[in-house]
Amino acid sequence: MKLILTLLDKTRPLFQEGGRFAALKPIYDAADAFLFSPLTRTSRAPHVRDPLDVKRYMSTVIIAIAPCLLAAIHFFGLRVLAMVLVSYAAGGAVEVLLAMFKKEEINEGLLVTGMLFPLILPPGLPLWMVALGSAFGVLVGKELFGGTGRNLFNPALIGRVFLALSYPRAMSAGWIEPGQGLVGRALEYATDAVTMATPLAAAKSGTWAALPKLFFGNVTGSVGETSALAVLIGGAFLLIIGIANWRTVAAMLGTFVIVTAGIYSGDPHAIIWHLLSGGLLFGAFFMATDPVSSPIMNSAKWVYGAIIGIATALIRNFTGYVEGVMFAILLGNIFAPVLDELFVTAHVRRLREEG
Amino acid sequence: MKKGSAYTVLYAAVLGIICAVALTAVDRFTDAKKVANAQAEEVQNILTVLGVPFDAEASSSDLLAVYESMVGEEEIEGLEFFVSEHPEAGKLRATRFHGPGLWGPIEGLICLEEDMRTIFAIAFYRHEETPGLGGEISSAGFQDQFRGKVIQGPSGDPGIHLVNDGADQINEIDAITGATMTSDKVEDMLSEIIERIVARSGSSGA
Amino acid sequence: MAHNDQVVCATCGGSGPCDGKGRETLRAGVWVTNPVSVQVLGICSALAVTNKLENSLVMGAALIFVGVGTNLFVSLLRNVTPRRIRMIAEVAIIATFVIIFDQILKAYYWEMSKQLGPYVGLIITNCIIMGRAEAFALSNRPVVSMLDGLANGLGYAVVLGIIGFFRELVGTGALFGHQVLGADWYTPNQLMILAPGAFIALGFLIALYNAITGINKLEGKGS
Repeated sequence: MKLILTLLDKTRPLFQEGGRFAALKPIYDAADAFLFSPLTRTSRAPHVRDPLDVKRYMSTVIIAIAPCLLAAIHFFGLRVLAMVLVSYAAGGAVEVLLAMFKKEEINEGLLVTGMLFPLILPPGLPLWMVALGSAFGVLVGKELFGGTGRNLFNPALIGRVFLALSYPRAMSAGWIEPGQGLVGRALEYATDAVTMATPLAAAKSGTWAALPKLFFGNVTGSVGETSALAVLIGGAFLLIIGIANWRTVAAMLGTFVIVTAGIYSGDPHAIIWHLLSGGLLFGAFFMATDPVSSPIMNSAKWVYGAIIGIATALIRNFTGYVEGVMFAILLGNIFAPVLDELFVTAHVRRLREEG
Repeated sequence: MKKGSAYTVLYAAVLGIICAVALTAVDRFTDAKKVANAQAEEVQNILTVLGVPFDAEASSSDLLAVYESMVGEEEIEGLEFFVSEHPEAGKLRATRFHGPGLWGPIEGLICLEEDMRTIFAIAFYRHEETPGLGGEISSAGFQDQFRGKVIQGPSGDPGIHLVNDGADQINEIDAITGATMTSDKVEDMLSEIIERIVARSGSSGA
Repeated sequence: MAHNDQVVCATCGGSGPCDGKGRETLRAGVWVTNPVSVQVLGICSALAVTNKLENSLVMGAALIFVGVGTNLFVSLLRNVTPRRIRMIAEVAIIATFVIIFDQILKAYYWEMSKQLGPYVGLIITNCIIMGRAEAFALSNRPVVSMLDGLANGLGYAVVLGIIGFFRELVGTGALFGHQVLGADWYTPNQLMILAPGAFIALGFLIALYNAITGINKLEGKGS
């Protein structure tokens, strides 16, 4: 480690303005910051928006995702790892190119986006589509808005919605049958696995998957979302550490339960079934709570979560789409800045009246 | 120069007349061709579904000539049929159907063999469904599935069903993956026309 | 247009019918103040018909035809048109040319007429045509006005052509309806033939235009 440090320090002048490799400065900085702590600290959002520093925030989320990743490998095979690698490589390439073009530092946002993105895709999706979606999400979803901390939408969801609209056939045919037994598919690459309908799609034609299967994740679905257990472990961790805001999660799941109860006239089995199926829990803990694309004000987070929860329940039950979490969260993202604006104005007015 | 109200009215009238004359002239000049184009398109759809061979590059008047010589029209209790003699399949009858799709109206033609039960061909010639999903109804692969299917199930119930779990009945077709809404609506509009056909052919004994 | 008033039209040397503004007018319409990529006008049709290259080019041709015709007649009548009803007169002239084009399309190019649907008729409300008639033809002589209509129509057609090229190529793997990217290895990106694909393509095109011209950096200096 010492050796690397001295090497990095010695070669620093080469990468500074006017140095021989000045164009490669972003890569140098990234290596430096990733391995050691950076000389300069982030001073812009999302740093300002959250008491933790960006890097620590990112690493904590990665730890929280680990159970989902392990469950995904168990059920869908080593292919999942390949998807994660491809997602990082493609997103990273876009980041590096843009950082060189804009002469800015590479930021750490990709650490989380690159991991979350493959987890919300069908496990059988061709790898080049994973790469394309990741690159699109980073470029259009994040960099065009000004980079980490300035994006209006969750970049991973932008990547997924891009793929869902671009390649609807592949996106609705990539649902690999999950591996069974103790080992599952953890030792296979699983390229020729049989595909099947997701529980939500099957439910539309009257076949309801068993609850224990949904809870442990022994059903098909997006890579990281099938095991409610794994999502809950990671989600609880995020809530306890305080990275995921409990208000968003509570509002989203609460309103979802209320609307679903209304639709199924209070049938507890249907409510729990809907709660455990699809990407609802994964979306609630990992996607909706993204500090950048959700509102900052705590009071606004209640409304934001409620918008997502209600929209999800409505899309699932009353449209041609079987799952609505993706659209619902993007819809919530649109409202986030407006909600902040409204609640800040109301808050200021109240303060003024009091003082 | 100062222009009064009378001038304004006069100007508007003259300009309006000139524009109207120009448009009328263009309309008169193009009218025959426009009508022929619209007819030719209709005729082309009917000829295709009846399996009558025609030259794809043929002019509209040629198409009309082919239609007049090959296709007859027949009305069975309010349902209009286009009738043609096919060299192998015998007497074929086609009729129009329509109904709402997911985004806009869907129009098509269904062609039956002489027994009025077996489907010879089907065509969805007008739709606004999602390209790649519901839009697949106009693909040859989807339409070819209908050939040889029967518009009544084993127990005589009228209707063609679009199913997801493998079509194994004589009146079942594989639905389009990912386009549940379009598939449902297509099934509905087919059921409607099939019920009308069955009701009529049953009573007339054809 | 202050930046190149030294440029004198090469063909007439400033004394001909285009009042020495020929080259400048052409350059403005096609590049400097391109109606779509700079003024962001005519977006409705630019998004709607560009899913195929052929449709885009026919739509471009329609705009050139209507633009040239409208500007010519508005300019010819500019001294006799009462100011009070000049906009109604402009709309009447525009509508006449649009309907003529639409009828010709229906008679001789039926397939295309069906694909373009209402968008040819909607040129009547196209801001580019109306804008050029108001802003240019009403205060310029006929020949240079026609040139202005041609330039703006061309500018529109070029942008639509580029968008149509990419949307058809990426969205279906074909150009002018002929498969150019092999169907065995190329998976069409269906987003590109849907409306959002048009927004994305146009967005990238404007970004590219801005990067080439540096238009954002010039802003504020005034012209």
